[in-house]
Amino acid sequence: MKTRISNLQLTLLTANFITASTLLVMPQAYLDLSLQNTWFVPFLWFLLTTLLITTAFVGWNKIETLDFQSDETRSSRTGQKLLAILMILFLMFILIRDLRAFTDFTGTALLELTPQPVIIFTSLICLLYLVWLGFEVIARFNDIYFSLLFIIILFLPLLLLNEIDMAKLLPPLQINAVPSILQTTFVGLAWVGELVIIFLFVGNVQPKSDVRRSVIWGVGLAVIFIFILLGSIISVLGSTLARYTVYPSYILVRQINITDFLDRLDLLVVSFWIPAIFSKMALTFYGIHRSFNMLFGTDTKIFLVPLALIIGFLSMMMFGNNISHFYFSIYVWSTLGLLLEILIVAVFMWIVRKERLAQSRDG
Amino acid sequence: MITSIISWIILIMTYAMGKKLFKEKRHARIWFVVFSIISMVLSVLYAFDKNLVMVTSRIESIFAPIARMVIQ
Repeated sequence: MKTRISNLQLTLLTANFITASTLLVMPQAYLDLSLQNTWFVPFLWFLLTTLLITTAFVGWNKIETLDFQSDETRSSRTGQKLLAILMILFLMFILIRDLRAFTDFTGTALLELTPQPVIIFTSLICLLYLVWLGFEVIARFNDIYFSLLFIIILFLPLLLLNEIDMAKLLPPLQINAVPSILQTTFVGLAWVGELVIIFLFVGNVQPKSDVRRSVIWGVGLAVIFIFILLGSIISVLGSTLARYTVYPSYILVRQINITDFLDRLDLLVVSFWIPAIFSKMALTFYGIHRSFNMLFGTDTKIFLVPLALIIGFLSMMMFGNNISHFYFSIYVWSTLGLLLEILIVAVFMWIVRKERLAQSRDG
Repeated sequence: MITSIISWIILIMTYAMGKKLFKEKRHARIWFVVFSIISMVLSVLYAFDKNLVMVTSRIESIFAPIARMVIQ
């Protein structure tokens, strides 16, 4: 049976894909570059990403269907296989990086005595279970946890009201801060642009005509999410302290203390945040699985177990330590990720164009 | 020790999936075997404390200079 998701689910998947692991790894790098002006950067990401999405979906409404899972798609097989290869490369890097980021975070902040391979392979078992159940289950899982996390983040400034010091946001947006804001925009653009994964699933969205709007709404939600979190980090911790903190988002939620007895609300936030990260990793893993099926022309789940093991070993073996992972996330991914995203958008546009021509030729 | 156990888990899973495997198309079976061999090779390398930092460094040497040029 063909899997179907709604436009709202697509919006939430997009928003979660942008925010979940970005906020785990990147705030320190953003704050190190733009200091107290970092809160402004998400709006620039929104503009650039909207431009990217609008360009990618040119001619989208003129085609009847584009489902990479079925044989109804009339566009060239070469285009689909090229997209599959690029997606495999792109998503493998994302999953290996995110799994390592999650392991490092868990090992540093939550389970200090648990060995790294144990965290990685138990996480992979959870991911395998989610991916095995299919795309609709991942979407529903994401609906629950991202919605709850988003509500908590909306109330975060209220929960931190007694810790907020607006003076830490000063001086805002001086003219000499423009280069640093643009640098941060560049560093984070590849992370926000990871939403190109949705090109694999656009055929599963009903109704098809609202896909572009849903994705832009997803980016909007993600931007609000990142803006609130970065703004809170700056106004509570201060950019000078946060730029030298490994996980400023986690340190921020630990600052929540309502009266003297409600001071461990960080556990509540983390208990929604970790499933949101799992949701992102599951979607990435499912994307890899679907790309392999697209490439080999199969519809099977038998690749999942060996793929999970390959990803687990690579995430342990590719990075010598936390610092090399951090270096990869900032310096390498900002260029490599952006390059792969541009290529994916170009190939997707080519497929849409071919499909449109094929459909108009067929009448 | 852990990696040895993991390697054995791979072998058991490969065997356990055998029944389902024979119902798949031929090229799906071939790719399943290829992926299993890759994961086993990686597990053995990990068991002997080998890593792939050289590969990551090579990727870094290509892409990191561009980002560093923008940031500095």
